[in-house]
Amino acid sequence: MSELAIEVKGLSKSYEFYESPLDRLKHLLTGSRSANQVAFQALKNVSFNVYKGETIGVVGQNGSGKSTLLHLLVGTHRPSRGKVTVHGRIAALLELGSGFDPEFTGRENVYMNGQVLGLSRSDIDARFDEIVAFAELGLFMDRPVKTYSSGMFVRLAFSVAIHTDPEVLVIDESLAVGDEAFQRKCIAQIESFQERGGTLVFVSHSAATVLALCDRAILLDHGELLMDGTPKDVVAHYHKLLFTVPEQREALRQAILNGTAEQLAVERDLGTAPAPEFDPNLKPTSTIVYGSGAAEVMDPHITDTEGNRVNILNRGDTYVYTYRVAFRSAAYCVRAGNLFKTLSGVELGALISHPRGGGLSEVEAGTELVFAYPFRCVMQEGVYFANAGIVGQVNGEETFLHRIVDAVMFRVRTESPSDKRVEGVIDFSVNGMPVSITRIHGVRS
Amino acid sequence: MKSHHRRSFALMFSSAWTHRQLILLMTKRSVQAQYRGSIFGLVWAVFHPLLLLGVYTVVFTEVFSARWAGEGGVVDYAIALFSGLIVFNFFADCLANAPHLISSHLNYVKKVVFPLEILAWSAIGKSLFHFFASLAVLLAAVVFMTHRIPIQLTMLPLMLVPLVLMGIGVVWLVSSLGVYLKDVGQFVQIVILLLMFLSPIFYSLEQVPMRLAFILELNPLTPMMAQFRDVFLFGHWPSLSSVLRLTGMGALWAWAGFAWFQTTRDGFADVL
Repeated sequence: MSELAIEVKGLSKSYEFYESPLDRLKHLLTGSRSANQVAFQALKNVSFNVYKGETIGVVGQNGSGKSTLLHLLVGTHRPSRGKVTVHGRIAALLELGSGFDPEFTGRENVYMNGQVLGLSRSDIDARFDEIVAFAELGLFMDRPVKTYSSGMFVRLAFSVAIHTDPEVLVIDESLAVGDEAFQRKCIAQIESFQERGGTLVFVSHSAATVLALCDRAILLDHGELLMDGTPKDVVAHYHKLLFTVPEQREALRQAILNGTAEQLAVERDLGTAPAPEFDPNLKPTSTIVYGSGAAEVMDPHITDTEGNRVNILNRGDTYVYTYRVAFRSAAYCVRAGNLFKTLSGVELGALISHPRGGGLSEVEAGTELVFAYPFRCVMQEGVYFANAGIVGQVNGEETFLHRIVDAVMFRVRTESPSDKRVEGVIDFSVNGMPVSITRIHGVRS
Repeated sequence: MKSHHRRSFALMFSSAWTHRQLILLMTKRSVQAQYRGSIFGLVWAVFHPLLLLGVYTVVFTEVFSARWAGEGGVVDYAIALFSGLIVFNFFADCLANAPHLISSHLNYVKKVVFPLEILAWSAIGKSLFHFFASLAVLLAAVVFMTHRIPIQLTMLPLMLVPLVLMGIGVVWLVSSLGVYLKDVGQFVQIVILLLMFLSPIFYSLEQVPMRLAFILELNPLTPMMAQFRDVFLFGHWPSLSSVLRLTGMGALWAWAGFAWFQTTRDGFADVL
């Protein structure tokens, strides 16, 4: 792990906007800049090293400079200042198939694309069968690429790129195309690449993927490298930065840069059995509200069993999700419900006041009701959302009287290290019970 | 001037050698692309020059009663005309395709790391393909009509060198300009038209009045056309000194085009 794979030193990139193409030409020839030329600095003085065999995650919000960094690593863009040195062949699975010509057959494109990626004809000859087998295209290899489905296109592009035997691989989330079986195959390829000692640079918004895949992570924000550390620390700071209120953002940013925010986080992590908490910055920005206007959902919130408002929940504990509904006009067959979802929108489950077909038969105008749904927090560490809704019969049909999508946002944390046995979204474990292992065959060593 | 791309004379050729397989493949593909799906396919590549030869010969010899340098017969005129025309067509082809060469390969500019300088070589390759198709028609016509095999054609490789160097210089220069200036596409159409009449294609240099002849003598295509005429019409060996001089000029011109291309290519991604 001591041999360098990628060296990034004082890397800066500014994109310049020119009045006209001619201005650009003038600048190239004379080096002079016209007065009204604007520059946008996408990366500011970024330095880090990646060692051979390492998998490094790059996290940051949109516009933080992640894509720019990748472009500079791969060489499609040139740094304005600083230097990138990549030791060994680098392949990017960024915009798959962008080197393909739609008019030509899969076979022709493999040769074409392979040579663009730096293989010789005989190299491609030697790997051709493997490439075709992996892409699962069969007879389609001799048809023009324009007749391919998007899945086939990506499969072939991925196959060519991975078979160029790169030493450094750069990937982002755009890989999430094709059916599940193929995605699984891609991941298996990437894993085998890692096992063979390949160096991987991975860009993602998904904290879970970075935590699962990476040995190390870096945090970019507004073109600056804020942090370089373990995936867990970096992701924690990234989330903090993501959900902080604008007024405190700058201070937090500085704290992360100086390394002082880290101590805060560590202290909090080390606290024994921390009490449920309320973080005022943890507010959804994706809220959508609609409905017929007959009722209004108000003040959706989560409390612990003692009635304290919380939005940082401990895994395994019981909480109550509560909201008030004010009825503007009379409503019939009224039911209320919620829906818990993950950050990516996966619907985890819902609690409903009455089963379908039931409900409060009549609610008079002016009534105010409070709905409280007790629930057990069975989710894994992460950020989750809850909807709040009220439905009723209008002209014989059940419609939303009022609905708030992403009404509440909350974070689930776990306190004890033994909880790390659990992965995924839902906690299936029974409190404190270990995994039982029974030997039915084989010799005890 | 600052550029991240080297402009050395040697690189001009070494990059083409390094990427020769890719250039060949791209050339093949672009030729195929032109004919793919058509019923007659590659027959068109031969039919087109054959038709040109026929039409030009009939119109000029029958309608205008033209004779090469005022003497000789219809066959001589046809051979003389076509010798000049294939040189002109090669150049016109290079010029016409150059302005959009870069913008039609947008992905290579913006999405992948690609040796952009070889696009010009593959464009030249495609123009050369048509050149050879025309040359084959001319050779067949010469053999068929004069019952003489022009053995001087063995010098063809030497004669091609200056032609290719001139062509590639033009492609590097014009393809880069075409990225920055939309007008280049229109401009080259006019240049091609002017070049057609300011080159000794339909008439010989001797027929041009003295006060205008200097324009044709400045035209680098004039001596190249003369070489092909020497071989096909007069059965002369091309002058070695002329070939060397043209090669030297061609090399300098190509280098100028290459240097311009290498200097300006950094901006392609910014303006496309």
